Amino acid sequence: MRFHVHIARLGVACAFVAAPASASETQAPLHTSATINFTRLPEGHVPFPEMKPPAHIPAGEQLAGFYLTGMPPDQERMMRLTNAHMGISYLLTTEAAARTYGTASFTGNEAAADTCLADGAEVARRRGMTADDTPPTWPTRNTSQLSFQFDAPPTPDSQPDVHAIHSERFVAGVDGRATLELVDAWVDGRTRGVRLLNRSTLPLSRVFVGPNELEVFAARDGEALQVVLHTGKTLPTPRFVRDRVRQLVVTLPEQDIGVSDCGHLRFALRAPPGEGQMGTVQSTAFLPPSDEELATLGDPAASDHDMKLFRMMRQRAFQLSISASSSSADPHPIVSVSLSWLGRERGSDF
Amino acid sequence: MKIDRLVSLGALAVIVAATACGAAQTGSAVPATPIPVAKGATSCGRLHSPTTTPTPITGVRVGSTIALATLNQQTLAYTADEDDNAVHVVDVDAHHELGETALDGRPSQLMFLPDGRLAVLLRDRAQIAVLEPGANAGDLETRCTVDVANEPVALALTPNDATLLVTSGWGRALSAFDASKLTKSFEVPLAREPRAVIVSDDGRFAYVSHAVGAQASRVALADQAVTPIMLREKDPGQEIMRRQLQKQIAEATKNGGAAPPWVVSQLEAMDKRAHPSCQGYALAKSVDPGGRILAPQVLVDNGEIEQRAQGYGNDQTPTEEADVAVIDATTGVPMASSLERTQQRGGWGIDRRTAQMPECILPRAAVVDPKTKSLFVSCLGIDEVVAYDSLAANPARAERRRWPVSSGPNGIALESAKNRAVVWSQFDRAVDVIDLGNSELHDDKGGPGPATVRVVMAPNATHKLSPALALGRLLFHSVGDGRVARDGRACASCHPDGRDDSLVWATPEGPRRSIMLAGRLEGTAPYSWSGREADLRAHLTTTFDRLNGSGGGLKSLELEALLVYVESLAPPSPSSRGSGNDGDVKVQQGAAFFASPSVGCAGCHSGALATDNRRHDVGSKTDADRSGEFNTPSLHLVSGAGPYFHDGRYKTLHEVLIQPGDKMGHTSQLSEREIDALEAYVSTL
Repeated sequence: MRFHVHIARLGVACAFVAAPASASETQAPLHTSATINFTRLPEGHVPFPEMKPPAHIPAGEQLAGFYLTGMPPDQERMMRLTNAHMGISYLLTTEAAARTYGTASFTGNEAAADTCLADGAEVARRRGMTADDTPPTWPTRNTSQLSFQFDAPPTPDSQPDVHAIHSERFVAGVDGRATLELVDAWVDGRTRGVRLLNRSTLPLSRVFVGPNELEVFAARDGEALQVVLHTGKTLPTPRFVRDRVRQLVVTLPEQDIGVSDCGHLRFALRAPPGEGQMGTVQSTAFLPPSDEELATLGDPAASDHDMKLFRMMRQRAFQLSISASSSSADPHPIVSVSLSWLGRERGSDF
Repeated sequence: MKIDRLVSLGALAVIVAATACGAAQTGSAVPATPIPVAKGATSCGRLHSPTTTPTPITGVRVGSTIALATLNQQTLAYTADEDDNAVHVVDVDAHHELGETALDGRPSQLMFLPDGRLAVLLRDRAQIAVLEPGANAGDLETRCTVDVANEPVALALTPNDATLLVTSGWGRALSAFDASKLTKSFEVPLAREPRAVIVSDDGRFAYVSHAVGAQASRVALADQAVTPIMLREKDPGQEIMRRQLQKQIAEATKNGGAAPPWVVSQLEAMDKRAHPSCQGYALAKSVDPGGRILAPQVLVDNGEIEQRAQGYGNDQTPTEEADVAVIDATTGVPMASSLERTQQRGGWGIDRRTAQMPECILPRAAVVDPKTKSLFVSCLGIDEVVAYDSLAANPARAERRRWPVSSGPNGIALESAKNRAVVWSQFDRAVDVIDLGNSELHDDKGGPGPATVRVVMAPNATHKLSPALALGRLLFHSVGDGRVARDGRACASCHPDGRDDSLVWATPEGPRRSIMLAGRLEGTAPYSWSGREADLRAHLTTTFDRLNGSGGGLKSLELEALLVYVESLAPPSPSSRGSGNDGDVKVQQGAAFFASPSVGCAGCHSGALATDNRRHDVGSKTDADRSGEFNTPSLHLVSGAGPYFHDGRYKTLHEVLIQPGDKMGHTSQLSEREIDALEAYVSTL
């Protein structure tokens, strides 16, 4: 498989698109800071519906965007052999992924770009760790697939089969706009039935761009700030690096951590008067090699060209912070973004 | 000292001095003779026309070790050189020194008054010197001196430019003066070691930082009421519990009821356990929007003092972390988010070997850039200026850029019109001019960023600092030197200005209060609370051991230099409090009690330094202490050094003197008035 790579200019965000290697094209430089006008952000709301799950959902009830499949044959066989008395169903976000799950044709995360799932079971766990006055929110652990375990056959002590699932699909727009399509559903892990709970959208505006085209979008949700981090569309090769760069880890308020492997991560920041909250990403930026090094790369058609190019890449840790805070004199939260290097650069050591 | 060692020290000093990046420019030779001062000058007013002399950069109402003015479109920097007891004038655009004015004392800060006079604090003289730029750009002429409380360290003006405020460190005071006549309006007492001062935009409150004590102070300028602002670490998990407890109190007291005692005591216990802060040397204000006071400081984990530790403090986590407290200027309440510790660094691909940016744990100056809303902080030890987001909920976690500067940066001035910062670095006696650029994030290999220009002051024939002292001072303030401490602490971390951090640390011997060094080492051996180290060298070795530093890695030359520096630390000048007839009588009475065998103080606190240099058991052992015998501490300068005892159990001298059980001396038979007299005497030691 050939990797098509395009190299960006020094000192800018790194991006790779299908084209022969070239060091001549420039992109917008990275900046260290931005202050965002809270009142000019698009307005929306991320609802958290009342949790009254049905006892079960018939298998015939389906919902687009929620595709459940059972265990692959090998896994089923293993369960029987080990007398596990347990079943597992998998929730994926495209029909093709569900159809090919567990087979050689399964393309995993890549096929389900920009759609993330979160399991509402996390919410109950988190409630014990937050203050009573904090409104409940969907957990910040996003993934492109979920699994549900159930007792086979069910027993009096079995956990409920119906789960509240939150889905977010990032839809890019033009001129720095985007939309988050939010669908909440009840999912029965045993019957694989799905029932709509709630549907809404959240309009977003891009407020900052970090390394590796990491985009920061924001929206106003009452006096709260909704932040969506979105990984770049064009990511470095090879694929294992691309998959890792799609992973986002964000340090959040109240000892929470946000994690995503599905291309974006949303979290909320609240800033009542005299208070503030921050979300902080620490990750690695890929920086292009110098023109002199590129000149030694050789024939772009060579089979080892892309790997050689990758090994010339420089890496540097960075930190991106998004803050919302209010002094008692501020009529609205002050929103700001900061970007800095975290250390020295180093070569690629994969 | 042998000639070859002197040569080595000299060589090392030169190498150490040449540490900045960018072009280095040395000042041209300037006259060493001070500009003549008008004898008998008593008038503080201007003599020269303001149209012919430099004009201060407008809007600067906070003192620093560097101040900027313009003359014929050239920018001049005025720097307070505490080594040379002088003010230098530097042409920032031409990159050379124009002149040097000798002073009668050590300058701590300077600031232009609204009419162009330069107010310079003389730290060791308890005076404000008022100077005026002379006919030539490099000239300064002294107009008058004004007395102020002991050890003036910082200046600020109110927004209407009518009042000049001065904090005094050892004098523990905030003084106010009429800015034009320089007559004193009031003086108000403060907690230990006040440093920076800044006034809220509405002119109602002065905020004061403290180098120790985990607090800031808010002083209402109308009635001089002082409100302490506690600056202790906020643990997010604890904060949730705190809010729930406060809710319970609110519900209980809603209809006039009383707060449940167990809830109140739980809140108090949480406050007591919260990790303290330290190194409050600087303050700045947010700009557009205003409303925030920014206080660079350090959060300190001093360990569980009820238990012994392997070193000094918590063995598992870094003890010191850079922080910027955000205080709401309207309410005086700090933002909880700004007092949270950074969680362990993580993220994909973060190589901890390269991702460890050295921490700014010795912040000394701060200023906000209105254009980028960045807070610039000068950091001793790492010799960098770090830019943070001044509007972030936790600015220390929203770093933006860093610039390396000359050694010992303790003052920053911003010139927004020319998009640059000018930094004074005392150890190198150099001015760094930083082009702030355009807020782009620079890739080092993508081409050099804007260069920093360095201007080094010309050598002074009367320069007092020897190479050994210079090297010792560098080592004392060195951050990230694994030979001193594994977690990168500096000596100055626990001994800011060579004094003490007022903290009690968990140690292998038990709880141990940091001891003040300046002026209290000579003649007070043996050292440490246990009194087991016969000399300073042995004490340093033990200290490096406990800090897990490979102290053996320090060359003997360096260890010698460190000892020379520590022994040279000047004590603060004695307080003039209590002077006057009534005060003198009280002190004399107290002296009599002190010497009296029935009271027994002089039994152990004997001699010129009030110590018999022996160990005694005064019944003060705690469960965590290995031994109940403690080295008699010298009482020299004791009045400025609370809390007291090896475990800091007594907050004030008064508490020590009335301690129950007469375990140390016998004061139970003394009346309240007699205790006051004894305290007055001890305060003069």
